[in-house]
Amino acid sequence: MSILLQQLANGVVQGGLIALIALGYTMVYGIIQLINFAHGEIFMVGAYGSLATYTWLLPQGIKDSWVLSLPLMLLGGVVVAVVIALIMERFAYRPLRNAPRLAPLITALGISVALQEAVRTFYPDATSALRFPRVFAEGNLALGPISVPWSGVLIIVVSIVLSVLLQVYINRSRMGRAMRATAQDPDTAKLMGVNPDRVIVLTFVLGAALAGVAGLLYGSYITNVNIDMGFQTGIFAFTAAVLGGVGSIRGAVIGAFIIGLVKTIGGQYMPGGTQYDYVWIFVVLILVLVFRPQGLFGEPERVRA
Amino acid sequence: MTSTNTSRPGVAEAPASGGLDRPRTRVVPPLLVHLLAALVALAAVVALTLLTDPFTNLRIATVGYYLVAVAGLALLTGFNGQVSLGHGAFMFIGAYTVALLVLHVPAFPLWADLLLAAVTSGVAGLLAGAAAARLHGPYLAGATLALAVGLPAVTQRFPELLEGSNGLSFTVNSTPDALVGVVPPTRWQAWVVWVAVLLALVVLANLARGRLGRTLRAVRDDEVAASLAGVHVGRTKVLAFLVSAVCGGLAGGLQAFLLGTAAPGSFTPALSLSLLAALVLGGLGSLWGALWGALALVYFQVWTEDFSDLLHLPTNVADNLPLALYGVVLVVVILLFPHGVQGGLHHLRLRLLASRSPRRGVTDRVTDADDPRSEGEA
Repeated sequence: MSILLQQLANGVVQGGLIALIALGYTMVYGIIQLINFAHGEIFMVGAYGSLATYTWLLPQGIKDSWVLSLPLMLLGGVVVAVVIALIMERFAYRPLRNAPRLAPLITALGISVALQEAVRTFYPDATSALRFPRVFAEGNLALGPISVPWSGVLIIVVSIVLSVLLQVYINRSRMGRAMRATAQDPDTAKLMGVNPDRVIVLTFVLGAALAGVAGLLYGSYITNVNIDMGFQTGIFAFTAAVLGGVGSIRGAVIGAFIIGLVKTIGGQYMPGGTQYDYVWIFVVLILVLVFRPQGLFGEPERVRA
Repeated sequence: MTSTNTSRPGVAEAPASGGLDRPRTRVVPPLLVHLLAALVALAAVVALTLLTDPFTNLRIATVGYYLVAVAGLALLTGFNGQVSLGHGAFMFIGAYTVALLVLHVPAFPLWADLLLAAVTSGVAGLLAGAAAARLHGPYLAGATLALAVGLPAVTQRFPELLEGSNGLSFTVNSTPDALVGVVPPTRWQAWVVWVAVLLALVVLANLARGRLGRTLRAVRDDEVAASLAGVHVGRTKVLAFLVSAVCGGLAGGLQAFLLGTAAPGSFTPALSLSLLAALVLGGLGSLWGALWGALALVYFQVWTEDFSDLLHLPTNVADNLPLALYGVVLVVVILLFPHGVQGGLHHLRLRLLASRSPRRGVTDRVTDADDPRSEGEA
C-alpha cells in the first residue's frame, strides 16, 4: 500500500514536469496547427541554460544559497529557451506560414536534430550526462508513508500554479482574447485588428518560458541533465497534449498527470517493470483515442469547408 | 489495379486542353509504360552497380529499400493526407518476419520470405488503419508515433524468440550457384533489392494513377464531398494504410535481407520521423518525390560526414557535426522548396515553359492538381 502511495506521488511529480512542456505543444498547435517537434529541445536548452548560468555566471557566494541562485538560474534558463524559440519561429516557421502544412513539421524536426547535436558538440563535456547542482531545499517532505523530495514538491506546486495562471491569462487578458481569436479563425481575427505575428510570437514565448522553467525543475529533481532528455520528455509531453485534446490547456495538464501516473504505476505493477513504462503510456493513448478521437477535452472535429 | 480504370489515357502527351479528351489512336496503357520505365530503371541500376565498388553497391541497395518505404508513405500521407509518424513500425514487422523465417523455416525461398513480410505487415496495417480511420491531424500523428515507439518493445517481451535488444542475426546465401564468384555478394543483393523495389513501384504507380489514387485524393481534399460522391471514406483510409504498410513491410524485409540482422535499435522513432522528412523533402504529390527523398535520406548523411571530414576538426566535434549539419540542411532545403524537391522541379518546368511561350505568366500559375494542395493535416 505504501508503495502504491509512493508511486502515486512520484507520478504526480512526473506529471507536473510533463505538464509544463505539454502546455507549449498544445498552445502552439492551437494557434498555428503545428506539431512543434523542437519544443522538447527548448526544454533541454533551458536546462543547459540554467546550468551554464550556475557554472559560469554566478559567484561562489550566490551559489551557496539557493534562495539567491534559484531565481537567477531560472532567469538564465528561461532567457536562453525564449531566445532560441524566437529565432526558431522567425527563421524556420514564419517563412513557411503559407507553405503546405507538413513543411514546418519537417523544419521542426531538423531544428530538433540540429539543436541536440549543437549542444552536444559545443557545450563543454556535454557528450555525457552532466551533474546538475541542488538548487532547492535539501531533504524530503514526509507525509505518512510517502516521502517526496522538496524539489519534487516544487515541481507540483509550480506546475499547477503556472497552468492556472496561464488559463486565467488566456481567458481574461486582452492578449489572451487575441490568442483565442487567432486560434478560432486567423483571418477574422486579423480583420478585428489582431496582429497575428504578435500573437504567434507571444505563444512561442509563453511556451518556451514554461519549458525553460521545466528544464530547471527537471535538473534540480533528477540532479543531472543529458542531451536526450528533450526528445524523450518531448514525446511524452506531445502524447499528453494529444491525450488531453490538442489546443486545450486543461486537457494538456490533466493528460500530463495521467501520463505521469501511468508511467510510475505501470513501471511498478505491470510485467516488465520500468523498462516498459512507456509502452503502457501508448496503450492508454490508443485506448483513449479509440473512444474519443478528439482526446479527453478536445473539441469535436469540425469539418472545414 | 488494372489499367482500365484510368481516366486519362496516355502518359504526359500534350497538356489536356480543357474539356473532353479527344479520342487518340493507339493509347499506350499505363501499366505497360510503368513496366517499361521499371525495366529501364533496372538496367540503369545494374549498370551503376557494375561501375561502382561494393560499398557503393550497398548504398544503392539502401536507397532502394528506403524508396519503397517512402513511396508507401507517399500513398498514405501524400495522396491520402493521413500523416503517419510511425512507419518504422511496419519496417520493423517486415524485418523481423524475414529474420524469423530465415532462421526457423529455411526451406522457404527468399521471395516467399519477402512476400510474407509484406503480408504480415499488411495485416498490421489493416489493424492500425481500422483504429486510425477516425483520427485526424495530431491525434493520428500521436497514435502512429505510439505504434513506432511501443512496438519494438515486443523484442524485450519475448527474449527467447526475438533475442531482446541484440536482435536476430542470420546469413542469407542468396547468390545463385552459377554466379558465385562471378558477381560479388553485395552487387547481387543490390539487384535483388531493386527488382523487388521496382515491382512494388510498378504496382504503386498503377494504383496511384487509377481509381484508388483518385479516391485517395478525393478523401484527402474533402471527406464530406468524397462521401457524397459515393466514396466509402473509412474503407479508403484503411486501404491506404494497408497498401502503405505492405510497402513498409517489404522495405523492412529487404533491409533485413541486406544487413543480415533485425534489431530493435534500427527501428527507433527517429527512423519513422526521417521517413516522413524524406517524403516531404522529396515532394508529397508524386512518387518521384519518394525517389528524391530516399536519395536524400542516404546521401545527406554521407555528404555531411564528408564535409565535416574536410574541416579537420577535433574528434569530438567531428563526430557530432554531421548530424547537426543534417538538421540544418533539412531546414534550409524545406525553406527553399516548401513543396519538396519535386514541387521545385515542377515549378521550374512551368517557369521554363512560360518563358518560351509568348503568353507569359499564364502558365506560371501553378495549375497542376497534384501540387499545391498535396498536404497532410498535421
